[in-house]
Amino acid sequence: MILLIFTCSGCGNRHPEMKEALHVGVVTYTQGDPFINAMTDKLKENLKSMETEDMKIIVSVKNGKDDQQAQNETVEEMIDAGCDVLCINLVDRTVPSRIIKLAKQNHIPVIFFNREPVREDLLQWEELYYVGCDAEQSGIMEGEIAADYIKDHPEVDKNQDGKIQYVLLEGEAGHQDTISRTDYSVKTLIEEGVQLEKLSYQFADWNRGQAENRMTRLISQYEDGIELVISNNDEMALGAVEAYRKSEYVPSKWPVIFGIDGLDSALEAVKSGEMQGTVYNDKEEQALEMARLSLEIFRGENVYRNQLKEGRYYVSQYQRVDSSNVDDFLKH
Amino acid sequence: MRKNKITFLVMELLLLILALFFVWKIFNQNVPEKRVAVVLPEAGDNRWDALIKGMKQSAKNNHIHLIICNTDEMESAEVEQEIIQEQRNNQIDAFLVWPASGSETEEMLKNECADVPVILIVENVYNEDEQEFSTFSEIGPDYYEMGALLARELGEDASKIGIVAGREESEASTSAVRGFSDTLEQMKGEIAWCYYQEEDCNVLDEIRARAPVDHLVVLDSRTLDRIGEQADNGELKNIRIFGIGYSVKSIAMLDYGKIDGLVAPDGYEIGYKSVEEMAKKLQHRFYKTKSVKTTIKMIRSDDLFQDEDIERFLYSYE
Repeated sequence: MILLIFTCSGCGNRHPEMKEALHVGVVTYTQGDPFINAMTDKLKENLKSMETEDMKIIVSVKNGKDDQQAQNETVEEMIDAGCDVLCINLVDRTVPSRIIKLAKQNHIPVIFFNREPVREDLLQWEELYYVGCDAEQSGIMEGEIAADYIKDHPEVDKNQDGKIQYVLLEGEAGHQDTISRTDYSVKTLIEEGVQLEKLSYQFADWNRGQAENRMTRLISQYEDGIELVISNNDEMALGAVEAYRKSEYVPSKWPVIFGIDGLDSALEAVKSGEMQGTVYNDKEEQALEMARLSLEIFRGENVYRNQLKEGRYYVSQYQRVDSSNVDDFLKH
Repeated sequence: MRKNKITFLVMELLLLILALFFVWKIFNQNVPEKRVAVVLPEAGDNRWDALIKGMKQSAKNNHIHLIICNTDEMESAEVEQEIIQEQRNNQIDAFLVWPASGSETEEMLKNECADVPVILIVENVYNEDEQEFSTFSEIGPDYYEMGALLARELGEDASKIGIVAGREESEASTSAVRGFSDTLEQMKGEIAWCYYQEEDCNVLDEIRARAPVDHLVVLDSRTLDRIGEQADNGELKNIRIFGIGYSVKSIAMLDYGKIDGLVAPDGYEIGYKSVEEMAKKLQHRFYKTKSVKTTIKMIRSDDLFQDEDIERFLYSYE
């Protein structure tokens, strides 16, 4: 009889007053990317603002330590501890299969962001989504801003040889965004009628410190012969700015510098004239979309999901930023 | 004939032993690993890297299945309670818990984990009465000693000192502040102010609002990293910064000269020993878990690549 009483009391719900909780697991490719960190902070902020009296939202952010294998293990740990929606910023966009398999086995929808998996992978399961931008568009816009600036400021051609001597600061070798941004920015400049002469290209892994080192070497090699710096992102563009700050050259002797992302520090640099332009990657809008999607998936609703391209893609639009409109973006 | 019979019996006996061994082996392999949940605030933050690395290694050696809970900030016992309740439904055999600040945490843990073993990690539960000891075993550094080490490091040169501590109702913060103040009392140093952090506050604004100081002592690892970043931006450039740091970032900032001195606990040791101690408890039901005070080190930028002892200590931070 006593045994029966104990057994029955164990069968009941231990905590009937427990609130419903949405667990969102976010795994980024690294902890050292300011753009991704700003985006995940915004995502957390949005999700927290969506909490209600009946529903708590717990957001856990981890990172893949720049290693796809480590990221796969982190995702496995997150699933093991209990997770309702996963938001993944892949280390290597070409190998999401392990993560997709784990998610599918455990029925946990995945929102990939910023680094787009190949289409075939995303079509493996109907609960896979992508929120991000079109890298090609950012390259075209960067080329357009640079071309417009060069046409309006003939002094950019410091040696007046009719050609713009330029260097490229590229992200990771072989990365889809690196290839698209580089190709389309240069192609657009040429299409806009700017005559170019490439002095050098350097891979700096999207990283400010690495870009600064590479740029310092280029400055000592080409001295004041560099007229244009095209960077695949703002972090590396800011690395170039830092290298020039530490060089012997006064700002009037610097080349024009362009980046992509619209980081706060890059916007400040555009405002102060140390950079001439950037392309705004709307992290706020993407973070909001991810938060809305997470909540909708959890509640089993379809309002936002029905508006997605092919039911799974959300592609945010880039925006051009130069000195004429930088103040609008600084207020973001 | 008799000899054949004995040989037969011996063979039979050997076969029986062999059969028993294989049966034992089969059942032994089928025993599921014990599941231990780890409750840490912001479990993905890099300040826990060494700790989690130590836990994973120890779990591997002791056949434990670790579950690192998905957590955000844990500002109160109530938030921690929800996480523990969820994990109770996840077939957990034991808990390794970083106790949330506040005097209600001990009671909450006693209620929620009455029938599962719990070991506290990193710090102990907060108790308003400093003389009263917690009933839980704790694996972590001695925060009183860490505060004292920092005071001795500042020595008699320090005149105006500002202290930034973690939450007021946390054992780590109160012990470190006590250790620092008690030791400094014996020297000439003067504490200008002591600030305990509150939720949603901007530490830099709080520092700016207080009287200027020559030395800043930051007794909370996460805050030290944030303040170090600001020092990186040129702010606080005339202030010497000392503190307690767990992360690779703190060590990098020490290396770059943004921080002048650091007391670091051995995160790997905390992680390794906590899982090891829990494994003993799970293997032997009547085993009484023990508290362990883990290693701490005073690190100066000059020692970083010269002192072999420090280098060895920092391996776990890699």
